Amino acid sequence: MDDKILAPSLKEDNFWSKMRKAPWFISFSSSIFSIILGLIAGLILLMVINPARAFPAFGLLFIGGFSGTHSIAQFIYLAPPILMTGLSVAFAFKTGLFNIGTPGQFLAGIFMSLVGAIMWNCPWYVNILLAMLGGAIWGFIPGFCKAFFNVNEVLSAIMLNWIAIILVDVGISNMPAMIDSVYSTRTVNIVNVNASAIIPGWGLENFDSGLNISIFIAIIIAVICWLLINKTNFGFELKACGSNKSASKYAGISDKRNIILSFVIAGALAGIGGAMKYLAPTATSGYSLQISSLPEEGFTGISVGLLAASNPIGCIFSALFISYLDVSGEAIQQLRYAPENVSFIIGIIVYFASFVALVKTWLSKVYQKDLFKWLGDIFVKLFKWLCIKFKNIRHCCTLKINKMKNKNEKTSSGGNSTASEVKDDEKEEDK
Amino acid sequence: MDWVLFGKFCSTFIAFAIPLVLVAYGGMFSEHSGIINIALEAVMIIGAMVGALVCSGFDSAVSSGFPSQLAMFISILSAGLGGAVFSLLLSFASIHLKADQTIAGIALNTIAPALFIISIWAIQGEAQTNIFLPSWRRISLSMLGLSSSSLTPFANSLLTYSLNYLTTIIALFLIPLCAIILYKTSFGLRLRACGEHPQAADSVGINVYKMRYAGVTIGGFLAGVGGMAYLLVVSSSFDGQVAGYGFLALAVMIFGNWRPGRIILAALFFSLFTTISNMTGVISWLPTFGSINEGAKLYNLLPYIVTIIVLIFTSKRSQAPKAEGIPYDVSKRS
Repeated sequence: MDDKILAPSLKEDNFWSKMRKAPWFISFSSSIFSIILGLIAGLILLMVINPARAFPAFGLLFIGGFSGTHSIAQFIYLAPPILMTGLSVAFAFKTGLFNIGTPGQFLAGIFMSLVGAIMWNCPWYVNILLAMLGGAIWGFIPGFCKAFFNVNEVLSAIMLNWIAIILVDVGISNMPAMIDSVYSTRTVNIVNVNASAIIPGWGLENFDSGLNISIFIAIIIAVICWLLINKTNFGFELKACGSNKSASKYAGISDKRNIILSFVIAGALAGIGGAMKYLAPTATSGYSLQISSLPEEGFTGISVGLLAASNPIGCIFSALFISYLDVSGEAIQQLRYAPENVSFIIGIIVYFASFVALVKTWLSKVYQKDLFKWLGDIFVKLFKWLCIKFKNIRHCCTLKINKMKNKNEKTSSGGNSTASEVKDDEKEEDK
Repeated sequence: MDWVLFGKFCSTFIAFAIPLVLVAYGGMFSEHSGIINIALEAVMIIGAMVGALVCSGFDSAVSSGFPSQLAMFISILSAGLGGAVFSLLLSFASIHLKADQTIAGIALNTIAPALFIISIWAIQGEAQTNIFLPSWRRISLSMLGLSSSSLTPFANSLLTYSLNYLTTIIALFLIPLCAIILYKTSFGLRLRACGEHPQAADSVGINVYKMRYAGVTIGGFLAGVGGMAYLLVVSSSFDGQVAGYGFLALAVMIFGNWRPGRIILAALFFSLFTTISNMTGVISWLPTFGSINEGAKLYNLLPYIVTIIVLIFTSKRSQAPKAEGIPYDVSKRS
């Protein structure tokens, strides 16, 4: 009997002591830490702008995304592209490369998938492959320059972003079939031209017309990336190159090949994201030609990847989180706040995520402390105590209910009930 | 020869080079102290925003007799101070919190445009996206005691097109001053030592943290002034975008091998291509790619493609400060 009571508590203690040393748990809690700090900074900003409306707006940030099926569908539509760009950043980061070229690779993906869909009438899966190819080509260039000419990949990728936006602009302008007949600065609505190019819903469209399976494709790709990085020789070589180039060279790993491959795969991932954005039923307005600004999904992808500490599985959650915040950002406009408040909050979160090394060492120290062990124990004890209390309360309730039932039976059965009831009460008080 | 057009070309050419040099110098100060400043773009935006706000705030004072160029001077100074204060975010994260400097820079690049829109909503009213600059920002010929009739067509066009701003004059003072500070003073030597070998610098009694703060803050001041200079040349209103100019300045700095003189040459080189891409409509003898729609936009590719090609040829033998990007840790002294 005693064994049965002791065993679970010991097990829980072990669980906590394992947990507090697990690297994934420490990076997870450091991400949560930066999210909390970012949200606090956002709240302070909202209060500085207008104290009266700050708290309702802050509340909307949390519930705004769930205000209706449409906003839920919007939130699920926005997630896959930034998940893909986030994976792209995370994948390159594993090889010690910073892929700021995601906007350009994303654009290359958009361009190839639109050409496939509108000019060549290809089905959706071919378009996704084309987008992959486009992104891969755009990722190859900075990788090649880095591997063979030691060009800083951040700079070459930024230049390629601007080159991509101008080339896509000129390219689409020279394909008259792609341009909408009414709006001369947009591409045509794909649904009207080639409905097979839209990524299908497989039943999801019954919930909301905007939903399709791209979120599942993206999650599957994230899992594949995780397997590729953690469970294969190739992934090990990439990580080795990222952590120490000279040592991996000494061990016979070709750093040039790995840098190029890593960038090509990262580019392909971002390209798929571009296809997912424009081959969706919600994207009816088409790609609008504008030379002045790069697609935001690319830069949001950097935040996604960094917030997930470049873990592909973590990217799924951070992409969902950031797309949720984006949808909520639209909602806080009702309270006359600029939607840019959300990108400010995301920026602050990334800022706090940048000193992740410091936070990690701090957190792992804190978790080792007796105080924290004590707190963990307290939580376990509190939980147990609550369970027992809950049982007691339930027990009391059932007793009371039974008593009430008895009383009711008595009142309905006998005429001289009042006297007997008083007697009953007195008896109970005596007890 | 068309002297008016040539004057216009020269003034645009110099006017585009000046913010590039200033911002690249900002990056140079920061990187010589050992901190990668990828947030130059953000610092430019914040500097230009503060400058533009102060400038438009002086509008009523100037119309009631306040000297216009003094108001410009104050707004340029506040642009620099705005940039310096904003760059403290980067230096604090990367010096005291030992942050990954690239990520912190990217975060600041996300924050700055958002902060711009948020402040504009708060200051000018809701749904505003632009700060409009007053018309007195230019230095007119009459202020210099000249009249357009007394000048040659070339000089007239040179002085009235895009050079007639106070930022040009300030930049002409600041640029040599910065070069002298970095290479001819003991402060500059100490600053560079912190970027090359901070442990050695520390061992002879230099406070590495202070030096790095100084480097990034001076860099932020220069980038803020550069942002204001860019804004004045490019348009009459500021919409929170500097079109990748901060990153271009970073490329100029790398192309210039972190040296003041070479940075000026590199900036002139880039400015040439930017000017050509900006003046395609005006220069008649450039090929127009007649068979391609929107062919003129292809000229906008020039600065970016040239940057990549130049980086391919120069990156092999780069002389980057050795300790840049590495947080200083006293315990790692060897």
